[in-house]
Amino acid sequence: MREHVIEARSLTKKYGSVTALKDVDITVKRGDIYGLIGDNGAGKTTFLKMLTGQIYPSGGEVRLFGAYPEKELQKNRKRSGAIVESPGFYPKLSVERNLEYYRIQKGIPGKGKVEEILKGVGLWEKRRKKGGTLSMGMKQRLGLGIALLGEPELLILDEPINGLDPSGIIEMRNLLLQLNREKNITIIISSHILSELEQIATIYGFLSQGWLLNEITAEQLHEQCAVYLDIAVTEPEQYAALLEKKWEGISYKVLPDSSFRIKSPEMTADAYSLLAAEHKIGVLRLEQKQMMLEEYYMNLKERGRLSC
Amino acid sequence: MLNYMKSECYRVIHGKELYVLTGVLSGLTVLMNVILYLFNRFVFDFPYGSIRYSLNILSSSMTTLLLGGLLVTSFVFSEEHKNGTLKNAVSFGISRGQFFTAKCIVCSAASLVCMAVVLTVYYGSAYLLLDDPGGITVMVRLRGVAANLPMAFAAVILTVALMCMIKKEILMTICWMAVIWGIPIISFIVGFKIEWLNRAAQWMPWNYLKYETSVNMTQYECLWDTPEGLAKCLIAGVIGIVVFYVAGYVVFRKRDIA
Repeated sequence: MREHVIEARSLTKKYGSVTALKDVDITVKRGDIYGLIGDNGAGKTTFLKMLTGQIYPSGGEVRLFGAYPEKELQKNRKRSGAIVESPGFYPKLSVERNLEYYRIQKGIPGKGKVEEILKGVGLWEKRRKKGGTLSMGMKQRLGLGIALLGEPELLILDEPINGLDPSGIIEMRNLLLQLNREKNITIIISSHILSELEQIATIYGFLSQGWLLNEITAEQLHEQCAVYLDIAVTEPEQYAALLEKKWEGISYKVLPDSSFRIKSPEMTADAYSLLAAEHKIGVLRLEQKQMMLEEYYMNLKERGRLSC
Repeated sequence: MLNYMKSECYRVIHGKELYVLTGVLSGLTVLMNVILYLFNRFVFDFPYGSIRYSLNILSSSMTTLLLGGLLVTSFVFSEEHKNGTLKNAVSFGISRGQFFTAKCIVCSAASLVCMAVVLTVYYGSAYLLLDDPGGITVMVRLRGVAANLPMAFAAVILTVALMCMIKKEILMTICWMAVIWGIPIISFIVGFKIEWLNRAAQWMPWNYLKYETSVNMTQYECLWDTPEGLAKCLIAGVIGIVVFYVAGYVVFRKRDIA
Protein backbone atom coordinates (compact mmCIF):
# COMPACT_ATOMS: atom_id res chain seq x y z
CA MET A 1 0.00 0.00 0.00
CA ARG A 2 1.34 3.40 -0.96
CA GLU A 3 2.25 5.84 1.81
CA HIS A 4 -0.20 8.64 2.52
CA VAL A 5 1.69 11.85 1.80
CA ILE A 6 -1.21 14.19 2.59
CA GLU A 7 -4.12 13.36 4.83
CA ALA A 8 -6.72 15.98 5.63
CA ARG A 9 -9.48 14.98 8.01
CA SER A 10 -12.53 17.17 8.59
CA LEU A 11 -10.40 20.15 7.73
CA THR A 12 -12.25 23.39 8.38
CA LYS A 13 -11.21 27.02 8.12
CA LYS A 14 -13.29 29.94 9.28
CA TYR A 15 -12.57 33.62 8.78
CA GLY A 16 -14.87 35.29 11.26
CA SER A 17 -18.37 34.27 10.25
CA VAL A 18 -17.26 33.07 6.81
CA THR A 19 -16.40 29.39 6.46
CA ALA A 20 -13.85 29.01 3.68
CA LEU A 21 -13.42 25.26 4.04
CA LYS A 22 -15.88 22.80 5.55
CA ASP A 23 -15.02 19.30 6.79
CA VAL A 24 -12.74 18.48 3.90
CA ASP A 25 -11.26 14.97 3.75
CA ILE A 26 -8.51 14.53 1.19
CA THR A 27 -5.89 11.80 0.93
CA VAL A 28 -2.99 12.01 -1.47
CA LYS A 29 -0.80 8.95 -1.84
CA ARG A 30 2.83 8.81 -2.80
CA GLY A 31 3.28 9.24 -6.53
CA ASP A 32 -0.14 10.80 -7.10
CA ILE A 33 -0.67 13.98 -9.06
CA TYR A 34 -3.71 15.41 -7.34
CA GLY A 35 -5.62 18.03 -9.32
CA LEU A 36 -7.61 20.40 -7.15
CA ILE A 37 -10.48 21.93 -9.09
CA GLY A 38 -12.91 24.64 -8.14
CA ASP A 39 -14.09 28.15 -8.90
CA ASN A 40 -12.61 31.24 -7.30
CA GLY A 41 -13.45 31.18 -3.61
CA ALA A 42 -14.02 27.42 -3.62
CA GLY A 43 -11.33 26.95 -0.98
CA LYS A 44 -8.44 25.60 -3.08
CA THR A 45 -5.89 28.16 -1.95
CA THR A 46 -7.15 27.97 1.63
CA PHE A 47 -6.55 24.22 1.59
CA LEU A 48 -3.06 24.60 0.11
CA LYS A 49 -2.22 27.34 2.61
CA MET A 50 -3.11 24.99 5.44
CA LEU A 51 -0.89 22.31 3.95
CA THR A 52 2.02 24.72 3.84
CA GLY A 53 1.37 26.04 7.35
CA GLN A 54 0.60 29.58 6.29
CA ILE A 55 -2.75 29.41 8.01
CA TYR A 56 -3.97 27.26 10.86
CA PRO A 57 -7.09 25.11 10.61
CA SER A 58 -10.13 26.12 12.66
CA GLY A 59 -11.02 22.46 12.94
CA GLY A 60 -9.88 19.03 11.82
CA GLU A 61 -6.34 18.02 11.13
CA VAL A 62 -3.82 17.78 8.37
CA ARG A 63 -0.99 15.25 8.22
CA LEU A 64 2.08 15.35 6.01
CA PHE A 65 3.93 12.06 5.60
CA GLY A 66 1.90 10.81 8.55
CA ALA A 67 3.01 13.55 10.94
CA TYR A 68 0.36 15.46 12.81
CA PRO A 69 1.36 17.74 15.68
CA GLU A 70 2.45 21.14 14.39
CA LYS A 71 6.09 20.56 15.37
CA GLU A 72 6.24 17.31 13.43
CA LEU A 73 4.40 18.90 10.52
CA GLN A 74 7.00 21.62 10.40
CA LYS A 75 9.80 19.08 10.17
CA ASN A 76 8.06 17.29 7.35
CA ARG A 77 7.41 20.50 5.46
CA LYS A 78 11.15 20.50 4.77
CA ARG A 79 10.38 17.53 2.51
CA SER A 80 8.08 19.64 0.35
CA GLY A 81 8.29 22.54 -2.06
CA ALA A 82 5.50 24.99 -2.66
CA ILE A 83 4.16 27.86 -4.70
CA VAL A 84 0.96 29.21 -3.21
CA GLU A 85 -0.85 32.17 -4.78
CA SER A 86 2.25 33.78 -6.29
CA PRO A 87 5.92 32.80 -6.39
CA GLY A 88 7.86 34.27 -3.48
CA PHE A 89 11.36 35.66 -3.97
CA TYR A 90 13.42 38.80 -3.35
CA PRO A 91 12.87 41.15 -6.30
CA LYS A 92 16.10 43.07 -5.76
CA LEU A 93 18.29 39.97 -5.79
CA SER A 94 19.27 38.32 -9.05
CA VAL A 95 17.66 35.03 -10.07
CA GLU A 96 20.85 33.15 -9.21
CA ARG A 97 21.19 34.83 -5.82
CA ASN A 98 17.58 34.10 -5.00
CA LEU A 99 18.24 30.42 -5.57
CA GLU A 100 21.52 30.60 -3.67
CA TYR A 101 19.65 32.24 -0.77
CA TYR A 102 17.20 29.34 -0.64
CA ARG A 103 19.97 26.78 -1.12
CA ILE A 104 21.61 28.12 2.03
CA GLN A 105 18.27 28.30 3.84
CA LYS A 106 17.48 24.68 3.05
CA GLY A 107 20.99 23.59 3.98
CA ILE A 108 21.73 22.03 0.59
CA PRO A 109 25.45 21.40 0.08
CA GLY A 110 27.17 22.33 -3.18
CA LYS A 111 26.60 25.38 -5.33
CA GLY A 112 26.21 23.13 -8.39
CA LYS A 113 22.61 22.51 -7.38
CA VAL A 114 21.69 26.11 -8.22
CA GLU A 115 23.07 25.74 -11.74
CA GLU A 116 21.25 22.44 -12.18
CA ILE A 117 17.93 23.99 -11.10
CA LEU A 118 18.46 27.10 -13.23
CA LYS A 119 18.98 24.92 -16.29
CA GLY A 120 16.11 22.64 -15.33
CA VAL A 121 13.55 25.45 -15.19
CA GLY A 122 14.99 27.31 -18.16
CA LEU A 123 16.36 30.32 -16.33
CA TRP A 124 20.07 29.84 -16.93
CA GLU A 125 20.21 32.66 -19.48
CA LYS A 126 18.36 34.99 -17.12
CA ARG A 127 20.36 34.12 -14.02
CA ARG A 128 21.85 37.58 -13.63
CA LYS A 129 18.53 39.42 -14.02
CA LYS A 130 16.88 40.75 -10.91
CA GLY A 131 13.85 38.78 -9.78
CA GLY A 132 11.62 41.85 -9.90
CA THR A 133 12.36 42.50 -13.58
CA LEU A 134 11.24 39.07 -14.79
CA SER A 135 8.05 38.46 -16.73
CA MET A 136 5.20 36.66 -14.97
CA GLY A 137 6.07 33.41 -16.67
CA MET A 138 9.72 33.70 -15.66
CA LYS A 139 8.67 34.49 -12.09
CA GLN A 140 6.64 31.27 -12.07
CA ARG A 141 9.71 29.38 -13.24
CA LEU A 142 11.80 30.98 -10.51
CA GLY A 143 9.15 30.04 -7.96
CA LEU A 144 9.20 26.47 -9.22
CA GLY A 145 13.01 26.44 -9.13
CA ILE A 146 12.94 27.54 -5.49
CA ALA A 147 10.33 24.89 -4.70
CA LEU A 148 12.43 22.22 -6.37
CA LEU A 149 15.58 23.00 -4.38
CA GLY A 150 16.29 20.26 -1.91
CA GLU A 151 14.70 17.50 -3.97
CA PRO A 152 11.25 17.67 -2.42
CA GLU A 153 9.11 14.54 -2.13
CA LEU A 154 5.95 16.65 -2.36
CA LEU A 155 5.18 19.64 -4.55
CA ILE A 156 2.32 21.95 -3.59
CA LEU A 157 1.46 24.15 -6.56
CA ASP A 158 -1.29 26.74 -6.70
CA GLU A 159 -2.01 27.85 -10.25
CA PRO A 160 1.58 27.25 -11.40
CA ILE A 161 0.89 27.90 -15.07
CA ASN A 162 -0.59 31.34 -14.50
CA GLY A 163 1.11 33.80 -16.81
CA LEU A 164 3.03 31.18 -18.76
CA ASP A 165 3.06 31.35 -22.55
CA PRO A 166 1.99 28.27 -24.53
CA SER A 167 5.49 26.85 -24.75
CA GLY A 168 5.99 27.60 -21.05
CA ILE A 169 2.82 25.64 -20.25
CA ILE A 170 4.04 22.67 -22.25
CA GLU A 171 7.47 22.81 -20.61
CA MET A 172 5.92 23.07 -17.15
CA ARG A 173 3.63 20.13 -17.85
CA ASN A 174 6.49 18.00 -19.13
CA LEU A 175 8.68 18.99 -16.20
CA LEU A 176 6.01 18.03 -13.66
CA LEU A 177 5.34 14.73 -15.41
CA GLN A 178 9.07 14.04 -15.55
CA LEU A 179 9.50 14.81 -11.85
CA ASN A 180 6.57 12.58 -11.00
CA ARG A 181 7.72 9.68 -13.15
CA GLU A 182 11.45 9.80 -12.61
CA LYS A 183 11.66 10.93 -9.01
CA ASN A 184 8.25 9.74 -7.82
CA ILE A 185 7.47 13.23 -6.54
CA THR A 186 3.92 13.57 -5.29
CA ILE A 187 2.21 16.67 -6.62
CA ILE A 188 -0.90 18.51 -5.53
CA ILE A 189 -1.82 21.14 -8.04
CA SER A 190 -4.68 23.57 -8.45
CA SER A 191 -5.50 25.15 -11.76
CA HIS A 192 -8.31 26.85 -13.60
CA ILE A 193 -7.10 25.36 -16.85
CA LEU A 194 -8.83 22.01 -16.71
CA SER A 195 -7.46 20.78 -20.02
CA GLU A 196 -3.98 21.11 -18.55
CA LEU A 197 -4.90 19.30 -15.35
CA GLU A 198 -6.47 16.58 -17.41
CA GLN A 199 -3.15 15.88 -19.04
CA ILE A 200 -1.22 15.33 -15.85
CA ALA A 201 -3.47 14.56 -12.88
CA THR A 202 -4.00 11.01 -11.71
CA ILE A 203 -6.72 11.97 -9.25
CA TYR A 204 -9.06 14.94 -9.02
CA GLY A 205 -10.73 16.69 -6.10
CA PHE A 206 -13.63 19.05 -6.77
CA LEU A 207 -14.18 21.86 -4.32
CA SER A 208 -17.17 24.16 -4.27
CA GLN A 209 -17.90 26.82 -1.67
CA GLY A 210 -15.61 25.13 0.78
CA TRP A 211 -17.02 21.61 0.34
CA LEU A 212 -15.25 18.73 -1.30
CA LEU A 213 -17.93 17.64 -3.78
CA ASN A 214 -16.18 14.62 -5.11
CA GLU A 215 -12.89 12.83 -5.59
CA ILE A 216 -12.26 10.70 -8.61
CA THR A 217 -9.25 9.04 -10.18
CA ALA A 218 -8.38 9.66 -13.82
CA GLU A 219 -9.28 6.02 -14.57
CA GLN A 220 -12.67 6.33 -12.89
CA LEU A 221 -13.28 9.52 -14.81
CA HIS A 222 -12.65 7.67 -18.07
CA GLU A 223 -14.86 4.79 -17.04
CA GLN A 224 -17.70 6.90 -15.72
CA CYS A 225 -17.85 9.58 -18.31
CA ALA A 226 -20.24 8.81 -21.07
CA VAL A 227 -19.48 8.61 -24.74
CA TYR A 228 -21.71 10.87 -26.84
CA LEU A 229 -22.29 11.59 -30.45
CA ASP A 230 -22.66 15.04 -31.95
CA ILE A 231 -24.50 15.11 -35.25
CA ALA A 232 -25.49 18.14 -37.34
CA VAL A 233 -27.96 17.65 -40.16
CA THR A 234 -29.66 19.78 -42.80
CA GLU A 235 -33.22 19.07 -41.53
CA PRO A 236 -33.08 19.01 -37.74
CA GLU A 237 -36.81 18.85 -37.07
CA GLN A 238 -37.38 15.94 -39.42
CA TYR A 239 -34.32 14.15 -38.08
CA ALA A 240 -35.54 14.54 -34.49
CA ALA A 241 -38.81 12.88 -35.38
CA LEU A 242 -36.96 10.08 -37.13
CA LEU A 243 -34.68 9.50 -34.16
CA GLU A 244 -37.61 9.19 -31.76
CA LYS A 245 -39.48 6.90 -34.11
CA LYS A 246 -36.55 4.61 -34.81
CA TRP A 247 -35.10 4.37 -31.30
CA GLU A 248 -37.86 4.88 -28.77
CA GLY A 249 -36.69 6.45 -25.53
CA ILE A 250 -33.46 7.74 -27.07
CA SER A 251 -31.73 10.35 -24.91
CA TYR A 252 -30.57 13.36 -26.87
CA LYS A 253 -30.20 17.11 -26.51
CA VAL A 254 -30.54 19.78 -29.18
CA LEU A 255 -27.57 22.12 -28.98
CA PRO A 256 -27.77 25.88 -29.71
CA ASP A 257 -26.51 25.34 -33.27
CA SER A 258 -29.42 22.91 -33.85
CA SER A 259 -27.14 19.90 -33.86
CA PHE A 260 -27.95 16.84 -31.76
CA ARG A 261 -26.02 15.44 -28.84
CA ILE A 262 -26.93 11.80 -28.38
CA LYS A 263 -25.86 10.49 -25.01
CA SER A 264 -24.50 6.95 -24.72
CA PRO A 265 -25.51 6.00 -28.26
CA GLU A 266 -26.61 2.42 -28.55
CA MET A 267 -25.68 2.17 -32.19
CA THR A 268 -22.49 3.01 -34.04
CA ALA A 269 -22.11 6.42 -35.65
CA ASP A 270 -22.79 4.86 -39.05
CA ALA A 271 -26.34 3.94 -38.02
CA TYR A 272 -27.21 7.53 -37.24
CA SER A 273 -25.64 8.67 -40.49
CA LEU A 274 -27.49 6.00 -42.42
CA LEU A 275 -30.81 7.05 -40.88
CA ALA A 276 -30.28 10.55 -42.24
CA ALA A 277 -29.18 9.31 -45.65
CA GLU A 278 -32.21 7.01 -46.01
CA HIS A 279 -34.47 10.05 -45.66
CA LYS A 280 -32.34 12.27 -47.85
CA ILE A 281 -31.19 14.43 -45.00
CA GLY A 282 -27.68 15.74 -45.36
CA VAL A 283 -25.17 15.09 -42.57
CA LEU A 284 -23.09 18.22 -41.95
CA ARG A 285 -21.04 16.94 -39.04
CA LEU A 286 -20.72 13.71 -37.13
CA GLU A 287 -18.39 13.34 -34.14
CA GLN A 288 -18.10 10.76 -31.43
CA LYS A 289 -16.72 12.17 -28.18
CA GLN A 290 -16.20 11.19 -24.59
CA MET A 291 -17.27 13.54 -21.83
CA MET A 292 -14.11 14.56 -20.07
CA LEU A 293 -12.99 16.68 -17.16
CA GLU A 294 -14.46 19.95 -18.33
CA GLU A 295 -17.92 18.51 -18.93
CA TYR A 296 -17.67 16.45 -15.77
CA TYR A 297 -16.89 19.59 -13.80
CA MET A 298 -19.72 21.53 -15.42
CA ASN A 299 -22.11 18.71 -14.64
CA LEU A 300 -20.90 18.65 -11.09
CA LYS A 301 -21.43 22.35 -10.75
CA GLU A 302 -24.89 22.22 -12.27
CA ARG A 303 -26.16 19.34 -10.23
CA GLY A 304 -24.33 19.97 -7.02
CA ARG A 305 -22.86 16.51 -7.11
CA LEU A 306 -21.42 14.25 -9.71
CA SER A 307 -23.40 12.25 -12.18
CA CYS A 308 -22.04 11.94 -15.64
CA MET B 1 17.22 28.28 12.32
CA LEU B 2 20.95 28.53 11.80
CA ASN B 3 20.53 27.92 8.08
CA TYR B 4 17.83 30.56 7.93
CA MET B 5 20.12 33.04 9.68
CA LYS B 6 22.92 32.19 7.26
CA SER B 7 20.64 32.77 4.30
CA GLU B 8 19.52 36.09 5.76
CA CYS B 9 23.15 37.15 6.21
CA TYR B 10 23.77 36.16 2.59
CA ARG B 11 20.83 38.31 1.50
CA VAL B 12 21.87 41.31 3.56
CA ILE B 13 25.47 41.07 2.33
CA HIS B 14 24.45 40.73 -1.32
CA GLY B 15 21.68 43.32 -1.18
CA LYS B 16 22.29 47.05 -1.48
CA GLU B 17 19.92 48.24 1.24
CA LEU B 18 22.28 48.16 4.21
CA TYR B 19 25.16 49.69 2.24
CA VAL B 20 23.00 52.50 0.91
CA LEU B 21 21.51 53.30 4.31
CA THR B 22 24.89 53.19 6.06
CA GLY B 23 26.36 55.35 3.31
CA VAL B 24 23.58 57.93 3.53
CA LEU B 25 23.70 58.14 7.34
CA SER B 26 27.50 58.36 7.33
CA GLY B 27 27.34 60.96 4.58
CA LEU B 28 24.95 63.07 6.64
CA THR B 29 27.30 63.09 9.63
CA VAL B 30 30.23 64.07 7.39
CA LEU B 31 28.12 66.77 5.78
CA MET B 32 27.25 68.18 9.18
CA ASN B 33 30.91 68.24 10.22
CA VAL B 34 31.95 69.79 6.89
CA ILE B 35 29.37 72.57 7.36
CA LEU B 36 30.62 73.19 10.90
CA TYR B 37 34.18 73.20 9.55
CA LEU B 38 33.36 75.71 6.79
CA PHE B 39 31.57 78.03 9.20
CA ASN B 40 34.46 77.68 11.60
CA ARG B 41 36.89 78.63 8.83
CA PHE B 42 35.00 81.52 7.35
CA VAL B 43 32.79 82.98 10.10
CA PHE B 44 34.61 85.02 12.70
CA ASP B 45 34.12 83.85 16.28
CA PHE B 46 31.90 80.92 15.24
CA PRO B 47 31.27 79.10 18.54
CA TYR B 48 30.20 75.70 17.22
CA GLY B 49 33.19 74.60 15.21
CA SER B 50 34.37 72.20 17.89
CA ILE B 51 34.39 68.46 18.31
CA ARG B 52 32.52 68.94 21.56
CA TYR B 53 29.58 70.63 19.85
CA SER B 54 29.43 68.12 17.02
CA LEU B 55 29.51 65.07 19.26
CA ASN B 56 27.15 66.62 21.81
CA ILE B 57 24.42 66.37 19.17
CA LEU B 58 24.33 62.59 19.54
CA SER B 59 24.90 62.56 23.29
CA SER B 60 21.98 64.91 23.83
CA SER B 61 19.63 62.91 21.63
CA MET B 62 20.29 59.25 22.19
CA THR B 63 16.75 58.57 21.02
CA THR B 64 18.40 58.70 17.58
CA LEU B 65 19.66 55.19 18.30
CA LEU B 66 16.08 53.97 18.66
CA LEU B 67 15.07 55.65 15.41
CA GLY B 68 18.18 54.19 13.80
CA GLY B 69 17.01 50.73 14.87
CA LEU B 70 13.65 51.34 13.24
CA LEU B 71 15.27 52.60 10.06
CA VAL B 72 17.83 49.81 9.61
CA THR B 73 15.30 47.08 10.40
CA SER B 74 12.77 48.54 7.95
CA PHE B 75 15.43 48.36 5.24
CA VAL B 76 16.79 44.94 6.16
CA PHE B 77 13.44 43.21 6.82
CA SER B 78 12.72 43.56 3.12
CA GLU B 79 8.94 43.45 2.68
CA GLU B 80 8.66 39.77 3.53
CA HIS B 81 4.86 39.85 3.28
CA LYS B 82 4.74 41.61 -0.08
CA ASN B 83 7.51 39.51 -1.64
CA GLY B 84 5.91 36.27 -0.48
CA THR B 85 9.16 35.25 1.19
CA LEU B 86 7.63 34.93 4.66
CA LYS B 87 5.17 32.33 3.37
CA ASN B 88 8.06 30.59 1.59
CA ALA B 89 10.01 30.32 4.83
CA VAL B 90 7.01 28.85 6.64
CA SER B 91 6.19 26.52 3.74
CA PHE B 92 9.74 25.20 3.81
CA GLY B 93 9.46 24.22 7.46
CA ILE B 94 10.78 27.25 9.32
CA SER B 95 8.51 27.90 12.25
CA ARG B 96 7.19 31.36 12.93
CA GLY B 97 9.18 31.40 16.17
CA GLN B 98 12.40 30.54 14.39
CA PHE B 99 11.67 33.11 11.70
CA PHE B 100 11.02 35.81 14.27
CA THR B 101 14.06 34.98 16.39
CA ALA B 102 16.37 34.79 13.39
CA LYS B 103 15.09 38.10 12.07
CA CYS B 104 15.65 39.74 15.47
CA ILE B 105 19.24 38.50 15.57
CA VAL B 106 20.10 39.38 11.97
CA CYS B 107 18.46 42.81 12.14
CA SER B 108 20.21 43.56 15.45
CA ALA B 109 23.56 42.53 13.97
CA ALA B 110 22.94 44.62 10.85
CA SER B 111 21.95 47.61 12.99
CA LEU B 112 25.09 47.19 15.10
CA VAL B 113 27.33 47.09 12.03
CA CYS B 114 25.57 50.11 10.54
CA MET B 115 25.89 52.03 13.81
CA ALA B 116 29.58 51.14 14.17
CA VAL B 117 30.37 52.43 10.68
CA VAL B 118 28.29 55.60 11.07
CA LEU B 119 29.82 56.37 14.48
CA THR B 120 33.34 55.78 13.17
CA VAL B 121 32.75 58.14 10.26
CA TYR B 122 30.96 60.63 12.52
CA TYR B 123 33.64 60.72 15.21
CA GLY B 124 36.46 60.43 12.68
CA SER B 125 35.27 63.32 10.53
CA ALA B 126 34.70 65.44 13.65
CA TYR B 127 38.26 64.82 14.85
CA LEU B 128 39.65 65.45 11.39
CA LEU B 129 37.80 68.66 10.64
CA LEU B 130 36.94 70.40 13.89
CA ASP B 131 38.80 72.09 16.74
CA ASP B 132 39.55 70.09 19.86
CA PRO B 133 39.43 72.31 22.91
CA GLY B 134 39.51 69.20 25.15
CA GLY B 135 36.77 68.01 27.44
CA ILE B 136 34.72 64.88 27.05
CA THR B 137 36.74 61.98 25.67
CA VAL B 138 35.59 59.58 22.98
CA MET B 139 35.55 56.78 25.54
CA VAL B 140 33.06 58.65 27.70
CA ARG B 141 30.82 59.26 24.73
CA LEU B 142 31.08 55.65 23.58
CA ARG B 143 30.09 54.54 27.06
CA GLY B 144 26.88 56.50 26.57
CA VAL B 145 26.23 54.69 23.30
CA ALA B 146 26.98 51.33 24.96
CA ALA B 147 24.61 52.11 27.84
CA ASN B 148 21.79 52.68 25.39
CA LEU B 149 22.54 49.77 23.11
CA PRO B 150 20.14 47.35 24.86
CA MET B 151 17.30 49.79 24.28
CA ALA B 152 18.36 50.19 20.66
CA PHE B 153 18.17 46.40 20.29
CA ALA B 154 14.76 46.47 21.95
CA ALA B 155 13.68 49.03 19.32
CA VAL B 156 14.92 46.67 16.61
CA ILE B 157 13.00 43.73 18.10
CA LEU B 158 9.86 45.84 18.37
CA THR B 159 10.22 46.77 14.69
CA VAL B 160 10.68 43.12 13.70
CA ALA B 161 7.65 42.08 15.77
CA LEU B 162 5.47 44.76 14.19
CA MET B 163 6.74 44.02 10.68
CA CYS B 164 5.90 40.34 11.14
CA MET B 165 2.32 41.25 11.94
CA ILE B 166 1.58 44.40 9.97
CA LYS B 167 1.92 44.48 6.20
CA LYS B 168 1.76 48.21 5.68
CA GLU B 169 4.95 50.00 6.63
CA ILE B 170 3.21 53.28 7.42
CA LEU B 171 0.86 51.55 9.86
CA MET B 172 3.80 49.66 11.34
CA THR B 173 5.71 52.93 11.86
CA ILE B 174 2.69 54.54 13.52
CA CYS B 175 2.40 51.60 15.92
CA TRP B 176 6.14 51.75 16.60
CA MET B 177 5.94 55.47 17.36
CA ALA B 178 2.95 54.84 19.61
CA VAL B 179 4.94 52.35 21.69
CA ILE B 180 8.28 54.15 21.75
CA TRP B 181 7.07 57.75 21.89
CA GLY B 182 3.30 57.94 22.45
CA ILE B 183 2.96 55.74 25.52
CA PRO B 184 5.95 57.33 27.35
CA ILE B 185 4.69 60.86 26.66
CA ILE B 186 1.16 60.04 27.79
CA SER B 187 2.48 58.20 30.85
CA PHE B 188 4.67 61.17 31.66
CA ILE B 189 1.78 63.63 31.47
CA VAL B 190 -0.76 61.44 33.25
CA GLY B 191 1.97 60.57 35.73
CA PHE B 192 1.57 64.01 37.27
CA LYS B 193 -1.78 62.79 38.58
CA ILE B 194 -1.10 59.10 39.09
CA GLU B 195 1.96 58.28 41.14
CA TRP B 196 2.59 54.69 39.98
CA LEU B 197 2.36 55.78 36.35
CA ASN B 198 4.87 58.51 37.07
CA ARG B 199 7.32 55.92 38.41
CA ALA B 200 6.75 53.72 35.36
CA ALA B 201 7.17 56.70 33.01
CA GLN B 202 10.61 57.39 34.49
CA TRP B 203 11.74 53.96 33.27
CA MET B 204 10.62 54.53 29.73
CA PRO B 205 13.60 55.31 27.49
CA TRP B 206 12.03 58.16 25.57
CA ASN B 207 11.44 59.96 28.89
CA TYR B 208 14.73 59.35 30.65
CA LEU B 209 16.74 60.08 27.50
CA LYS B 210 14.92 63.39 27.11
CA TYR B 211 14.54 64.56 30.68
CA GLU B 212 17.47 63.04 32.55
CA THR B 213 20.18 64.15 30.16
CA SER B 214 21.52 67.66 29.87
CA VAL B 215 24.19 68.15 27.26
CA ASN B 216 25.18 71.50 25.78
CA MET B 217 28.23 73.69 25.30
CA THR B 218 28.68 74.32 28.98
CA GLN B 219 27.18 71.26 30.56
CA TYR B 220 27.57 67.48 30.16
CA GLU B 221 25.32 65.62 32.56
CA CYS B 222 24.18 62.26 31.35
CA LEU B 223 22.14 59.70 33.19
CA TRP B 224 24.55 56.88 32.30
CA ASP B 225 27.53 58.63 33.85
CA THR B 226 26.40 57.55 37.33
CA PRO B 227 26.31 53.86 38.31
CA GLU B 228 22.58 54.09 39.13
CA GLY B 229 21.83 55.81 35.84
CA LEU B 230 23.90 53.30 33.89
CA ALA B 231 22.05 50.45 35.62
CA LYS B 232 18.73 52.11 34.79
CA CYS B 233 19.61 52.33 31.08
CA LEU B 234 20.78 48.72 30.96
CA ILE B 235 17.85 47.32 32.96
CA ALA B 236 15.25 49.29 30.96
CA GLY B 237 16.90 48.09 27.75
CA VAL B 238 16.92 44.46 28.82
CA ILE B 239 13.28 44.71 29.96
CA GLY B 240 12.45 46.18 26.55
CA ILE B 241 14.22 43.31 24.76
CA VAL B 242 12.41 40.68 26.84
CA VAL B 243 8.97 42.31 26.65
CA PHE B 244 9.07 43.01 22.91
CA TYR B 245 10.57 39.61 22.11
CA VAL B 246 8.09 37.62 24.18
CA ALA B 247 5.11 39.68 22.96
CA GLY B 248 6.24 39.37 19.34
CA TYR B 249 6.94 35.65 19.64
CA VAL B 250 3.65 34.80 21.34
CA VAL B 251 1.46 36.85 19.03
CA PHE B 252 3.22 35.92 15.78
CA ARG B 253 3.36 32.19 16.62
CA LYS B 254 -0.41 31.86 16.35
CA ARG B 255 -0.95 34.24 13.50
CA ASP B 256 -2.12 33.30 10.02
CA ILE B 257 -0.01 34.56 7.17
CA ALA B 258 -2.58 35.98 4.80
